[in-house]
Amino acid sequence: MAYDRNMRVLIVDDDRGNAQAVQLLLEKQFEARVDSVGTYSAAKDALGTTEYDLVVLDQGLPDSDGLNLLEEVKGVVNMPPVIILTGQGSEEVASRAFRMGAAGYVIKDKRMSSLLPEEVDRALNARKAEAALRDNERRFRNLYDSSPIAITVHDRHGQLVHANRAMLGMFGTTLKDIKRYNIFADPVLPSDQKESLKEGETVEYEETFDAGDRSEELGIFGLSRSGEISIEATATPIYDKAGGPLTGYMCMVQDVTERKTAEEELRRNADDFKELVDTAAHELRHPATVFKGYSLTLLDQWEELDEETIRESLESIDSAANRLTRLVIQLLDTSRIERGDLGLSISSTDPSTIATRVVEEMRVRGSDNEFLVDIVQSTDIDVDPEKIRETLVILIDNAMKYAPPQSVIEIGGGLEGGEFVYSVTDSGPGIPEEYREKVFERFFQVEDSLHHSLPGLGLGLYIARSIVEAHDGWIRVESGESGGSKFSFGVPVSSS
Amino acid sequence: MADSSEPIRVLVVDDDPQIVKVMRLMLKIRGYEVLEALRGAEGVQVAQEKKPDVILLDIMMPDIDGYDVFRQLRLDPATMDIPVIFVSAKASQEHVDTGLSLGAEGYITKPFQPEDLLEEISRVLGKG
Repeated sequence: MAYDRNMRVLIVDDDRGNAQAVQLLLEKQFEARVDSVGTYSAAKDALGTTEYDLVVLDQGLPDSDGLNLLEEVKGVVNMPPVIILTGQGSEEVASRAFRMGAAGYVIKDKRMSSLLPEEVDRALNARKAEAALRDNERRFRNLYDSSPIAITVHDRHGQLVHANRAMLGMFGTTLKDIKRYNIFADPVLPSDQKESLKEGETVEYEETFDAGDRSEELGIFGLSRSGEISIEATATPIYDKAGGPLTGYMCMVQDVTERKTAEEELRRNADDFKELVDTAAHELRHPATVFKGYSLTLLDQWEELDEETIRESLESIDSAANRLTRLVIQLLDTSRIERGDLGLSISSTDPSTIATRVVEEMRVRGSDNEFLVDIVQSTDIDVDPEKIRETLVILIDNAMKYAPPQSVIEIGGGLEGGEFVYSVTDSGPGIPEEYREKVFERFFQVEDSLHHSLPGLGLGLYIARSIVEAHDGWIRVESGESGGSKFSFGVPVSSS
Repeated sequence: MADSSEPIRVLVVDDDPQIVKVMRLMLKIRGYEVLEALRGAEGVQVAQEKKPDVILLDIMMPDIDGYDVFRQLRLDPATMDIPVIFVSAKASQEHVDTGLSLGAEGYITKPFQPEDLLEEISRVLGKG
């Protein structure tokens, strides 16, 4: 039998002849380095100073019963295995020796030379197995403690009893705080159960796991100190022994907040896209209806139409084409904004000219609203004139949509500090405070009390905000108590 | 073609002035008398006052939508017998089914050919 190194053996026997025989045997068969003492007290001293791998102990020593040594060293760390030698082979001594923790027992007779090596082998192997087990345990504990994967241990009711450092880190909490968590109950709960549970209620999932020793994927929802996090856990049932009773669960927990957020974002984008296509399709039907109506009427009834009607019809077709163009521009702008590339082309611009041109355009379009333009101008501004024009068109269009017929829409502008601030004021119903931020979001339209939204893509103010922000400016809306909305936006006078 | 001695009176309810304008031209040139309303509530009111022969009703409007206008018309004995044709940009079969299941006599999707509109009017008036 080969060992990693020469093992050290202490022989405790007052019978010098026997001690020598044992020593020779161990040296020869195990290449052991042997110390030999003859008394109980000498044995104690030797064990106190040297680390032995094995003790061969005679039961009958001059100063004490050898078995007392077992009692004395019981519980001492790294106590080597002890093999008892005895002259009087009795069942009683053997059972007492084993009870006290002896690793083996050999009778001093002719068979000792063959039995002792066997006992030594057995004792050393048992010790090695124990050490390996302790080693595994230690390794497992290290793995559990230092694993980057969050791991929790639960009792058979799902109640958390322990969590490793990664888990505590993920939740930003301490073991004490996290202990109230139950894998099957709120706030750590399978997602499909989350809605149906009331506060304080728990769900026993034992039957799910009793079917076998397979793992279960749990979609779990959790809360951390820094807010809501989404986690996913795989719970593995732990059984006492094969076929034995369930003792608990071990969970591997993953923070999937980022993934969930990304999925949510993706889903929202897909929904938005679908809505955009639906709305665009709906909106495109309007100019198409106007085109069809006029063109076919002109074609079929040309002879019966007077010149004035023909002219009006063509103007209407032109106006519908403009509307179609605006729709297309909004769609293109949205696409550019989503790509993060609005493509501004900045030039020194007269802020007053932009506004008056937009208003002219609106008047030509045939509005029954009255426009009041009041631009106090002192300097040119560095902006993309086309985009600022578009922003004003969006705001005025919007005002026309909500303002009462024949009412006045005011367009204002002037220098305020280093900014040029435009404003568009209508006397429509105004925007409730809770919507004043939301109106600038994609697809948001203020609904009336009956939740009917006005036609349009719901992109105008979103585009307006994106344009203004691309100019390092700001946009906001105010509404008075008695209604009316005032949209204003400011852009730096100088782009530097 | 409508009877020249007594023109058929059509009420167009649509929030888009451009659409109302083109429908007015389409119908007038073919001898119909056209009544107009740019809002749902106004549409109900005009229907009650002028008792048109047929109503062309848009669905998506800012105040009350076409479905609600239709319900109000059918609840009032003065207007309950006037045939209604939904004229909507909501073109999915689902919307058509919803409109017809409410009890409307017809449904036309935008954009439409003037002939389709005229045929639908004749059909619901039993003159097709």
